[in-house]
Amino acid sequence: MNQPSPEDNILSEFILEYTEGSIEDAVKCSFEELMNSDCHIQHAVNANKVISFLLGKMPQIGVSDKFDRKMAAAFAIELEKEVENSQKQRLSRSNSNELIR
Amino acid sequence: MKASATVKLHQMSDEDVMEQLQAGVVQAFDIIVHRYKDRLHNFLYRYTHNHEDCEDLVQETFLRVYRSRHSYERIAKLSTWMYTIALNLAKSMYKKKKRMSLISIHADESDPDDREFEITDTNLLQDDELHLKLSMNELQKALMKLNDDFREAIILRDIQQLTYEEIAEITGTAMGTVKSRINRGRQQLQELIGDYVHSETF
Repeated sequence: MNQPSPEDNILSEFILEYTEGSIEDAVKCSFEELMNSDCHIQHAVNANKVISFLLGKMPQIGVSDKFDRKMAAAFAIELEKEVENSQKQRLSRSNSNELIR
Repeated sequence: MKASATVKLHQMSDEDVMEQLQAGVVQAFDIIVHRYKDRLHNFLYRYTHNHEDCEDLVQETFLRVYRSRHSYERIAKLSTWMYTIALNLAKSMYKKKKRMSLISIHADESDPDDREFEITDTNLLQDDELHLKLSMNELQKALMKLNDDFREAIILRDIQQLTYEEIAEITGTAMGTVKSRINRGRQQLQELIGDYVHSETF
């Protein structure tokens, strides 16, 4: 994908700041002037407002009731594997020590 | 572990809880799961729109967090680190299965959007509520049509409410690129759902 140009980045920053109301007062007037003379920027500001509003309204979809039980089972297996592995490592270390002696 | 110690874990910041996990306090894992399971699920669901795989991805994310606990460094926020793991897992699943583009766009009873839709804004009229619901169904479909880079940036910002700095860290891109993707992605979404949304409603 094409990387955005520095001009794209600057314009995006102004559009986002304006939409979120965090644009500095000194810049706001000049940005509004630019926006009023350019329908593409107006369209972008409008799209940013509407879409971020809608996305913010989307319901949060959490895990199902089964998740905790499945997670606990998977974690128990993980812990068992960890214990097994550390026992194997200990055993192989002690075997190598025996051989050295 | 004593009850008082568990209470202390509950009161700790994410990063302190992670430090406890690194020190061998296994109960810290449960706290992390409890705090992040729904947030990660919501993120992954919006990114993949594939309910079947989502819980497996969330579970795998937590197991990876546990396995890699010693590589976590406190300079990063735990949430950022976890979102990065989840996003990478989702991307590799996407590559393996290459089936997200084949997902049905028709209504599905098992679709949580259909089951759990809820509007909290009581000022909305009934027609507006219906309109909002239709818009959101279209919006989810449109999200799936976006380029992956745009979709992840938009979900992390507008649905997960993360900061631009956090998104830049999770996606491994410059902040200017993140902002540009969000701006362009929102415009593409507006174009995709244009017929369903009248800005006057909002």
